[in-house]
Amino acid sequence: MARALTVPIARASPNITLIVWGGLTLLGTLLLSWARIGRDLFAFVPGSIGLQLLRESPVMSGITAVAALVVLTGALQRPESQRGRIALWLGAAGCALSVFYLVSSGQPFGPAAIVAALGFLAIMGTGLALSGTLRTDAFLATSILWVGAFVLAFILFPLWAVLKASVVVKGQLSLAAVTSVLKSPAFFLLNNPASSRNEAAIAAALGLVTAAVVGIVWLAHRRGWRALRAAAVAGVGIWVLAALYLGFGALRNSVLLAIVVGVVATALGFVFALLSERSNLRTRSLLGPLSILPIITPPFVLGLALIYMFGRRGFVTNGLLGLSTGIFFGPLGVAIAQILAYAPIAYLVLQGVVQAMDAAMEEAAETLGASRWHILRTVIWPLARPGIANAFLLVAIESLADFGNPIIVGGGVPFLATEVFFAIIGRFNPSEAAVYGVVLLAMTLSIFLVQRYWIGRRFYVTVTGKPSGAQHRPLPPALDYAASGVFLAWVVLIVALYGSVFIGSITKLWGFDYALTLQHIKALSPTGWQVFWTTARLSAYAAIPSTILGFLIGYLVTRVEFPGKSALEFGSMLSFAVPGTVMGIGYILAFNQGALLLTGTSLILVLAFVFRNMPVGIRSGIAAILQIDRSLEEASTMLRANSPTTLRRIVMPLARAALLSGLVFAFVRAMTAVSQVIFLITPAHNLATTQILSYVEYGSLGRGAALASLLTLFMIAVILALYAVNRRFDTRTVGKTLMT
Amino acid sequence: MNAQPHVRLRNVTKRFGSAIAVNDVSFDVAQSSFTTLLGPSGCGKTTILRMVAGFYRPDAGDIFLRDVRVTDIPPHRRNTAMVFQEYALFPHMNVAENVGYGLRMRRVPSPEAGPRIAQVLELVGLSGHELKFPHQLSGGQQQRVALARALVVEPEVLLLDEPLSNLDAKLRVRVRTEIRQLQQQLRKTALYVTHDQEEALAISDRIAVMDRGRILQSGTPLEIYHRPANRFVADFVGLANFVDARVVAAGRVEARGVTLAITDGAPSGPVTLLLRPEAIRLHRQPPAHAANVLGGRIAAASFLGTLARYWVDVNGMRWTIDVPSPGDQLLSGEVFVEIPPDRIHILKE
Repeated sequence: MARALTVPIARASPNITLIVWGGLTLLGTLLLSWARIGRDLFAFVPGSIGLQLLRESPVMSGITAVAALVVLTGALQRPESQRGRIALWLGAAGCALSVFYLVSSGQPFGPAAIVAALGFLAIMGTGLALSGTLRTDAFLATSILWVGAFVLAFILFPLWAVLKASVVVKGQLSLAAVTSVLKSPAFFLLNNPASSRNEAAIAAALGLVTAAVVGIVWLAHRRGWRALRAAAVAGVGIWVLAALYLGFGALRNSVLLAIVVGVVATALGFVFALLSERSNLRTRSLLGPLSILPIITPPFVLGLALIYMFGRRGFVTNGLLGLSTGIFFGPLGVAIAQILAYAPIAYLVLQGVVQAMDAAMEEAAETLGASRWHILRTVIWPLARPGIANAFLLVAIESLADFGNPIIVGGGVPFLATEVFFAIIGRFNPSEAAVYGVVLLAMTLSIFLVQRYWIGRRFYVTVTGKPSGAQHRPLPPALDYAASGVFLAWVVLIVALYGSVFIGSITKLWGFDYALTLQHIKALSPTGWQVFWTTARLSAYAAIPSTILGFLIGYLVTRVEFPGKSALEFGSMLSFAVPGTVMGIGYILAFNQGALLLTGTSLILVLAFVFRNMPVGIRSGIAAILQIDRSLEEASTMLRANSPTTLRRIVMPLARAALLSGLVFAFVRAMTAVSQVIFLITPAHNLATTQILSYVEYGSLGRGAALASLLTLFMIAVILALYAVNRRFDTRTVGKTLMT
Repeated sequence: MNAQPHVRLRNVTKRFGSAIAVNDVSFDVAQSSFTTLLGPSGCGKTTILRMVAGFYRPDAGDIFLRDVRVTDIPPHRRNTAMVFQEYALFPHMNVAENVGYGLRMRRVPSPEAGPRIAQVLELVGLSGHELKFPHQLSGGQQQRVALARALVVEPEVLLLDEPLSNLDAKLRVRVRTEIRQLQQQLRKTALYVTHDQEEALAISDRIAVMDRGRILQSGTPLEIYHRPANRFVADFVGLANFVDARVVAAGRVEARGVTLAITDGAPSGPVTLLLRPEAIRLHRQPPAHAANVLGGRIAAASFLGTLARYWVDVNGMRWTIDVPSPGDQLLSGEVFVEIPPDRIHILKE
């Protein structure tokens, strides 16, 4: 056993990594096509392969020469650090030349361009590692560069395109589009010239009165600047609220909707969270499955169900009450649909908060003589407050960004997310769409920043200390029964709504003829089925890269030190805060022409899914990696495994459960996505959700219901399969997976 | 032992942000020796170990394995192996797979790997447990698997990061004896990190006592215990009574008006005397023909089985004094305290 082994010294032997990457890049550029005709990425274009281009294009000769030099560098006997520096510069030169070639040729990129980009980035990464610039190995350094390039190309670049389109009209830098939108009554109008009252004055007066009242009350208790601040905050708040309430337009509708939905959904979520953690009643067992349901169903289902139950010929409004009312078409219907859809999100956030509260604190309060009501008010509520703010902001982002419900039950009332759509589809005005997009983006992004950096910090302050293992106190019985009652009402509503869609899909003509029929299901053939399978196929294609990319980013962010790490993390999580419609128009604006032409391909749909759902993978990846003791990876490294081997043999097997649920949820989210892909679909690649929308728009509610039911049942089956495979799966990890 | 040190650190400094974890440390680990880094938490001992392993790169200075500079070599290219505090056994692999992992990474063919795994498991006394998973093993067994996993790859240097801290007291003593025996049997160079001074004394050939990123003293356990370089080392290793005194003449010190004979030499001036609790003797009657006898009064006593520990007020000071194999009755009241001159150590600071 005591045989002495020599220490491996940095050998001056050939560097295989560089030779392989240099060789692959060389072969790819010489033999694959740099351009493509039309939408098919893999169509061979004669005359566009590197070998043929060498004579006419000096840049192409340069690219080939750089790749050849990389092979040479790998083969030469040189110290690793020197070799690394050379590789770094060669890789950078290769990237620059490739980009220059693509931009100057102006043709849509072909497979050779992909190989060149990835290859030269990998050479740069290897160079970074070998030269010691980054203290990681070639694999991780390459991963960092690749991931960074993806985030730049498919998240930041589209957003940049939206920003640019909002201030560049017909090639000229101009604020015309911005001012015309901001001044338009469809965006926001406070003082309605048709009404006799002066809305602006009323709002200002209300604000002033509030400020005065608050200021006086505060001054009576406390002196000084705090009273002034409270008065200012209250005054401005009431002024803004009053202006919104009295005003008109998409901004007003979206913001008011977000506030109302945020408050109600958060309140419901808090009640449900208390129930699930503290209730003595049986009803709490229903919370898990019912909280998942709205998350995994396509966004139109609830809207459709509202039409069935409360529409003009709705089962409740018309069938039971004999009304013929359109009151549910508009903000009320949208609000109800959103509350039903987003209360579970608030619940999942707040469940964690309620659970993390240390029961010992409540016991301490109780031994000090506090009643249960008192504890709720003085201990639970203050501790839950940051979590409640968090839930509210998350729901508000979702509500602002929501596209499906406003378009189906909005009744033509303008909302920001739908105006983006109508500006581009109805009014063919990309600049106007971009301005709406920027406004929406500014709002969701600032909420996202507040949630992440302000509330997020406070969150951790409250949930510190060791859990004591003490049992949670049950709710006071009166509260328990009241909360359970609210929950039961919610359950009945959800069951009725989903049930109506299922029944609607086998009913002849809802509201007129309730005879059972299979005609809608039969009518799905062939279009409906075809669209369904296309959606499933593309979602499956997208789920794998979004999980792998997400996991890799999660790993890099938690375990590797490199410059630009926080920028990478922020950039990759950004797509969660960006409303789908904004990302959608970003994609058409960014990938509509020139070298990056992608619109009309199925690839752009897959890319949209991948980068939209990557944060799910990042979240679940980070959660899983944090569970793995770092010394396991160090032990593997010490035993001479390199980082890809450690990832494959140690990290991935231990994170299997998280990877699998990340995969399934990336798939589910892709299947149910609407807003980010509605601009990107073509007749050849229609998707199930947009197909439901067009069925509903053309009046065939039955077929819409049939496809929606099919989709819902399929999603439930997928989730149940996940349950079966992954026994460690529970609703909580799902919630964490889905939350920002 | 080989004359050339096996591991050498030269002026190594490591910072984390603005905090200096290791401050200009130079020290050697001799070939086939068992060397321990001992110190309170946060003293930089684990940082040194992880720099030798390659997980951290020193901000300044160099690390050598024999005469090869390894400062820039990543962990998986150094021929070191580490036993982690939490063992870091791969939970999804059984014992044989855990132990065989390093061989697999070195592309050792399985006909060769199998016997080597069996051999090392026998060495740590775990034959027959090959197919068990880590969670099916006791803490001591997990510890041995971790040791076997590190040994099977025949590392040049074995690194151990507080490997016993998760075991209960009795098991800790047993496993540390086993680790020591294995190390001597295999003649492996071992670098060990602990904050437990008793463990360090029991297991090591050499100990380096650290505080605030520096090595305060390096020596054999006996040297460290009996000839501590300063007050911190004396206090951290074992129990100590410190007495402020002045050297008044060759072989004589004065402390609080009492003159004591010493054998330790020191230039005249103020000094600190170190009296280990077991170096002081207690008598009911004044002993005949003894130097340095003082009167004292027992303030408190505590029975510890193999010894009795007394807190005795002597000349306005309270000393801790250990008396081995106490009889049926503990001492109390007025006593006589004898300090043999050769057991008084002068701390030179």
